Amino acid sequence: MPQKSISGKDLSGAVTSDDMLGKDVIDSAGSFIGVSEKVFIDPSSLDFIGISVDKGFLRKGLLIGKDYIDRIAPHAIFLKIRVAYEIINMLVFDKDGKKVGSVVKVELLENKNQINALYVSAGAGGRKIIVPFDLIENIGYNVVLKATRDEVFKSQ
Amino acid sequence: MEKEIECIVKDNLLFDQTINLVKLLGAPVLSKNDIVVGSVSKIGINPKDMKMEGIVVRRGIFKKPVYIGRNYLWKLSNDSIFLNIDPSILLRGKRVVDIDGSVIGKVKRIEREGNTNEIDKLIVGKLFRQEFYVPVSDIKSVGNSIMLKTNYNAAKKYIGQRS
Repeated sequence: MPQKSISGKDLSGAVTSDDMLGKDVIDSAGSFIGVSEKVFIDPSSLDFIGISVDKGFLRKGLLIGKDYIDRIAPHAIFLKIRVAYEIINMLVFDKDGKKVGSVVKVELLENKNQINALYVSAGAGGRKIIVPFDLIENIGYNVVLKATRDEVFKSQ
Repeated sequence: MEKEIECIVKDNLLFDQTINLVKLLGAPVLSKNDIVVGSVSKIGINPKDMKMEGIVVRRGIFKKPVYIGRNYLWKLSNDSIFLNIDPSILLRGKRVVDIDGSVIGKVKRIEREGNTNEIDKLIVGKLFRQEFYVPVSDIKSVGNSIMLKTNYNAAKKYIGQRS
């Protein structure tokens, strides 16, 4: 049944909260981050400011600001960015390809999606090392550093 | 303690400046985007010019080993080999997402241009759907999933229907 409108605008092309909730959230690398579960609206400006993502059972949710959203498609929400937290559990190799360890924690700059440092668990001894962002050569499916393993350990 | 090696060379690198191929066996092979492709199991040497021609990469018990030619190698070290590509065969099993965000299936097979790493088309399948192919021109980006530029709607497969 057609609804009456007092909006003063044509809302036919607008997206509703129903269109956003329960959708897969996919980052720019094609990773499925989770399912959108809440929409956040600024109480004073009434602007849409972001979404929260349910990442599944026993996993912490994630809040994503609207600036990081690329588009809302019929079946998914696409992000402009690779979510920095997705680096957790990636393997870390030194510049020669020698395994250093795996990422256990990501430290971000404020609440932005910019990495400040990675906490890497190195070896069976459980030794944790901090790798500053400057030392990272490339982040793909795993992480490669600019320095050798020995240099990284000496810098701690 | 290892004995010192006496060198007999003419216009060649000294032993210390080279890579020890024996140490390289078992070393990890990392792709352009840092995927661990597997570990080096064999090294092919060209019998004519005696240069390394390629490597065989072991990928675990259930996966076929893959031979990667020298042109796709980027860097060697004593600890690993870096490739200048992400081998397209690694796309097998990845989700394929159309422009609407719908998962239209998973990559079943990859058809390449000859033996090169260039993709010709992907054969995508989904449960209860017929397999269909996606030409490389329809692929927007390749990452953890394969994102398409268009939307697809694979025909349904009925019981008893031949594919």
